[in-house]
Amino acid sequence: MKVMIVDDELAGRRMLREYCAAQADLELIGEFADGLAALEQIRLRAPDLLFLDIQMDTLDGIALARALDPGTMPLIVFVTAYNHYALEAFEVSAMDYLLKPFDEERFGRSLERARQRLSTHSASERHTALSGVLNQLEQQIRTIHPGTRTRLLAEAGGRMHVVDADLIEVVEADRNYVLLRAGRDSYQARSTLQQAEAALQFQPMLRLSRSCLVNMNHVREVSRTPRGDFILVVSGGTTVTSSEGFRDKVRDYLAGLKISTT
Amino acid sequence: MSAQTWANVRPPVTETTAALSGMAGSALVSVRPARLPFFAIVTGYWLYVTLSNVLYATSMNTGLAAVTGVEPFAPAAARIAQHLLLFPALLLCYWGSLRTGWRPLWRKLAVQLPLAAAFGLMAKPALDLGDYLFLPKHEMVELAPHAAMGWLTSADLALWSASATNFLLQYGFGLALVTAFSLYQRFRDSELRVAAIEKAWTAARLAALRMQLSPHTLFNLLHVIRGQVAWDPRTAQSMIVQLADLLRRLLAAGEQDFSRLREELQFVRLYLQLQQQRFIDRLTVELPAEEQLPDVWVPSLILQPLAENAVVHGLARHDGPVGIRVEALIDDDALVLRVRNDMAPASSVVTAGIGVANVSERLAVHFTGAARFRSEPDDRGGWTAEIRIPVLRTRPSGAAQ
Repeated sequence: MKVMIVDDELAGRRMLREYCAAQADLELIGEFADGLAALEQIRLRAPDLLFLDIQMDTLDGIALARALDPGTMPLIVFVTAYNHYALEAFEVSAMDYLLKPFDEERFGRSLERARQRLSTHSASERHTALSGVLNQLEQQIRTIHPGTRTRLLAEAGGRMHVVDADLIEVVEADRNYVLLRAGRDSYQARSTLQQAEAALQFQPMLRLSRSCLVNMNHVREVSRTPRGDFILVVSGGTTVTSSEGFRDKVRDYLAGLKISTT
Repeated sequence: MSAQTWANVRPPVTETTAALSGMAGSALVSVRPARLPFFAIVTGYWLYVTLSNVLYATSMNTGLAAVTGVEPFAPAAARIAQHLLLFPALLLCYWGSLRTGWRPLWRKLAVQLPLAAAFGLMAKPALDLGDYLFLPKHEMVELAPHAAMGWLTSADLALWSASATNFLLQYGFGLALVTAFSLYQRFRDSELRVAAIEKAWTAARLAALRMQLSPHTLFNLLHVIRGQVAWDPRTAQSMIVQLADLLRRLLAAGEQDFSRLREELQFVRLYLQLQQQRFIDRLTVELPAEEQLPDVWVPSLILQPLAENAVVHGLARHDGPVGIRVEALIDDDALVLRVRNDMAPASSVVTAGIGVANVSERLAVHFTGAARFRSEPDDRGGWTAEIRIPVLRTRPSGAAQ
């Protein structure tokens, strides 16, 4: 079983490394202090098991988990120091987690559960469960720390970037990727439009067509084609058009923004 | 400090907010007097008025009849009926008057005076109605000879205005009574509210103090110690001692509003040393030498949230080294405490943590405007948080009590 570790603390990584080394069937193929570097290697080397430390003060661990590919989803064991809200979320969704501080016995127990789950659940099942937990966690972090910003990991110019979710104006599906437009910049992320929609749950995203989402906070101009489709222009200058199937939903949304005359 | 205490760090704050908003709700309701006491006071007062009016009329009738042989006042039955009929009107007018209030006076008088006048003017018709209801017809005619001469004679008008004046006075006394009662009630409510706010404030303050060391940090430290037990027992031992010192000081500081600057820096030193053990590969710390510190007092644990913020935000979103520098100096009659940290090179806006918000709140409580706090990026690509407070050479007594 190929294992990777993501933890920003040296001691945390070292302890996991030692415990993994004591298990004959585990092969440690990488350890990282930060999510950006980890994501590339996770894609490249497809580990089976990932120990992921989530700092509850920031959303960095969550951004990494969201960026993982559904098809090659490793089994994730969340490692966290303190958060009873997070624990609730983990319990409900039957996620594996390790609470710091832990000893070899607890490590062993959670590894045992992980092994079982790896054989009984498919990658896509794991992915569905994960995205539920991530949404719940994000919600809780926002209640504890209002003003927390969701960040997504995405590529531009061959490099990984951290993109602030509230800056994203338009999301477009493009084969296996989604294209994120933020002002003049555009990023690529390996995900489906549904995943992107879930990750952007706290932004007012409106579906314009089967392949396009727009963040209504950034829409500056609205006009219509002779056929009745809506043309929206966002702050960054990108123009997007609604498709026939979504026209009514767009109209309803825009109607809700009108200054009521009644 | 038990595990239970740590686990409870968040809830007290939410409870406090709930308590405060709940009180705001009750404050809105309590402006009007409670119904039952209001009803009891008006009823009691009106019984007294009825009794005195009826007794007065009866005794006058008896006295005048002995001299002149005529009973000029209406009989007791009619009078009682009059007061009974007026009672609902009285309740309605008082209720309206209390709801209207008196401020601003010139505008509210436009409502209050017509209310009183309307009540006063109702007295005479109510008496007539009482006559009509309770006296046999022949007596009616006898008592009201003017009925044959048409409506509203001058005698009628004179009687009407006399009774209106009389009842206006009684209305006024009663209104004074009811208003005084509602004012008393409002005063008592506000006393209760102040007590509740004080209690909530104390709870919030304690919660804020307890939050100075985030549970996240505490458990991560325990995890590092857990590792060092195997790798380097000496380090593990010294970390346990440091953590114990830190917790002891945290508990002590929670009991007092002010500490010596030396103590405060000692606490920050312990805190940063422990954090250094967590991020031994990245974190460097620079603190002022103890002998150079001015001998002054500062609000307890005022510096530590800034140190915590510096660690969290300094380390975030990059994996390079981070330096944290703490300074304390006297500048222009003010004590300046400064915490500076390096940041990720392209770090965008960093939001202030909960601890930092607590700092400005506490400074506002202790120094009411005489303190300055800023937390912002500096020109050397780092972040600087700076507190500027009046120099306290002696321990302030009960400044926050």
